[in-house]
Amino acid sequence: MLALALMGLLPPGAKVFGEAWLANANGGLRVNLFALTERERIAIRGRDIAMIFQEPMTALNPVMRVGAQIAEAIRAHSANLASAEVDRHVLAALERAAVPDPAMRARQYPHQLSGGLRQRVMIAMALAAGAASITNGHCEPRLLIADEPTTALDVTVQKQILELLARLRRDLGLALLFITHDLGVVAQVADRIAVTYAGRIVEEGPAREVLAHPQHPYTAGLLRASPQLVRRKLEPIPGNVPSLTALPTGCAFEPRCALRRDECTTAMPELRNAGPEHRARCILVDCVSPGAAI
Amino acid sequence: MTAPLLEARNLRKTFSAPAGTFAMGERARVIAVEGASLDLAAGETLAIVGESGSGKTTLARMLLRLIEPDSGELLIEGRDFLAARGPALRALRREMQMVFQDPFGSLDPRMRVGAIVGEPLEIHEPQLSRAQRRDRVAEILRAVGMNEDAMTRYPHEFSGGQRQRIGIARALILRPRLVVADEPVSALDVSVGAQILELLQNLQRDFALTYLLISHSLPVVAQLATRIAVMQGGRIVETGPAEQVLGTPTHPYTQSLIAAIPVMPVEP
Repeated sequence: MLALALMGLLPPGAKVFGEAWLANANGGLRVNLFALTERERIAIRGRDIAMIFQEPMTALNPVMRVGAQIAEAIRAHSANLASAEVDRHVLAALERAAVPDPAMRARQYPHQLSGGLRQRVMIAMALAAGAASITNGHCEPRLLIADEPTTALDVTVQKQILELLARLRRDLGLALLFITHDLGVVAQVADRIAVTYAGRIVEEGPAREVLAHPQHPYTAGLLRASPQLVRRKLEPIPGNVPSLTALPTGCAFEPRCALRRDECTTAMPELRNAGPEHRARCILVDCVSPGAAI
Repeated sequence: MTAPLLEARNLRKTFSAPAGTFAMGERARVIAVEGASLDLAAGETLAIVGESGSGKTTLARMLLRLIEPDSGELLIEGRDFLAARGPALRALRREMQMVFQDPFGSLDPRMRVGAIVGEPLEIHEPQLSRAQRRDRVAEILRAVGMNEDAMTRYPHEFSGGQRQRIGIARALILRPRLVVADEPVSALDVSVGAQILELLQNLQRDFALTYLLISHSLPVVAQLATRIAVMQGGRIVETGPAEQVLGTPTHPYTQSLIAAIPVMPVEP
C-alpha cells in the first residue's frame, strides 16, 4: 500500500497524508510526490520510479507481444523516438535483464515464457523507459519498487532474479524498495529493513542489526516463527493481525505480545531510538538490552 | 514384519499435451510422473519436495487414487488399492484425507462451518443422530484449537489461519490414518504458518497420524518431515531420512535446491 501511494496508484477513495520527497537527478532539487499534478506525476512514474509486481503473468498483457509492451513503456516517456530507436531500446532493455536471445523473446507472448523469464521481462520493462529517455537528456530510473517479485517463483529461479536485481542495483546505481514477507530474502537483498505491522512501521534499522538484535517483539516473534533448514522448535505468534478497521487503542501488537504492560493499551508508542540508525515502536526499547530474549 | 501403510511401485502418469488450438490427429503425451516408487510407514511424515511442474501433486493424487495411474502398483497394508471398487474403496478412502493449500478456495462460502466439518460424517457415518454429529464436530473443532461456537458461522468470518484449522478439522473428523497435506502453510503469513505447523505436529501425536506432506519449501519440510523424497521432472531423484537429505544431499538437484534457499546470516 505504501508502495502504491508513492507511485500515485492508490484506488479511488484512498487518501494520502504526509509527504514523500524524490531527489532530483543532480541531487539538488527535491520534489514532493504528493504535491505533483497528475501530469507531472505521470512523467515521473515509470521513468524515475518504476515498479515490478508479484505475479508477472497477471501484470503483463496476455494479448500483446512482450517487445511491444516494453516499447509502449518507452514511447510513453519519449514520444518522439523513431521506431528503429525504440526497437533498439527494447532489445537493450531485455539484454540488461539478462533475457537470453532477446530478439526472439521480444516477438513472443507472455504465456510462451516461463515464470522466471516473465519476471525478467517485467524488470526490463520497468527499467526501459528511464534508460531510453537518457538520450533525451533525462536521468536514469533511480528507484525500483519491487513488490514480492520472487514470491511466485521456485527457489532456484528466485535466486537468479535476486542476483539480477543485485547486479542492476550495482550497475545502474538504482535504489531498491523491496517488499517481501520472507526474512531469508530480506537478509540477502537488504541494507536496511523497515518492519510494518497493522499499517505502521514498527521497527527500522540496518539489516544485520535488525535481524541479529530485533528490538520490537513483533520482529523478534517473526524471526522465531520462520522455518529454517535445521529443525528447531518454532514459536508461533499467538492470535492474528488485527483488522485495520478495529485497531486496538494502544499498541497494535499489544493483544499478541508476550511482554505487554498495562501502559501498552493506552497509546500507540512513538518510534524510539534503539541504537545507531535503529528505531522501534515499543515502550520497552529503553529497558531491554540489545539481543535480550524478548 | 508388517507391510507399510502405503506402498507405491513404478507409478506412471502421462497427460495428453495440447498440440495447438485447432490441432488434429495424435497428440503428444507429456510424462508427469515416471517410475515413482515409495513406502510410507505408519506414523511417519514423508515429504515430497520439488519445484513447480516436478510432478509432486500428480504423484500425491495418484496415491489417493484421485487420478488413476497409467501403470504401476499401489498397495495399502499389502492389499491392492488400484483393484478396490465400491464399498471396499469407500472404506479405504475414509482412512485417507486431504488438507488443501488455499484456505479460501477449499471451503464452500455458503455453508456454515458446522456443516462443512460435519459433511464427511453424513456420507461415511449416516447412522449418527444430529446431536451425535454435532458433538463430533464440536470435539474436532476443539482439537484444532477452534471455539465450538464457530459452527454457526460462515468461512468468510475467519482469518486464513482459522480457515486452515477448519480444513484440518474436516480432514480429521473421520479419524483417518493418513493425511495428505498439499502446501498447508504456503498461503499463510509466517507467524500464522508456524501456528499451523505446530498444530499439525500436535495432531500427529494425539491422533497417531501418518502424514504425506507436499511442499516446495525445504524449510517448511525440515520442521515436519521424518523422510524426504525429492522430485525433478516427474522422477524421484533422491529419497532418505530428513536430516540426511537436508544435511548431506547426494543428488546435484537436491544440492542446488538447498543452495538456492536464502538463509539468515544470524540466528535470532
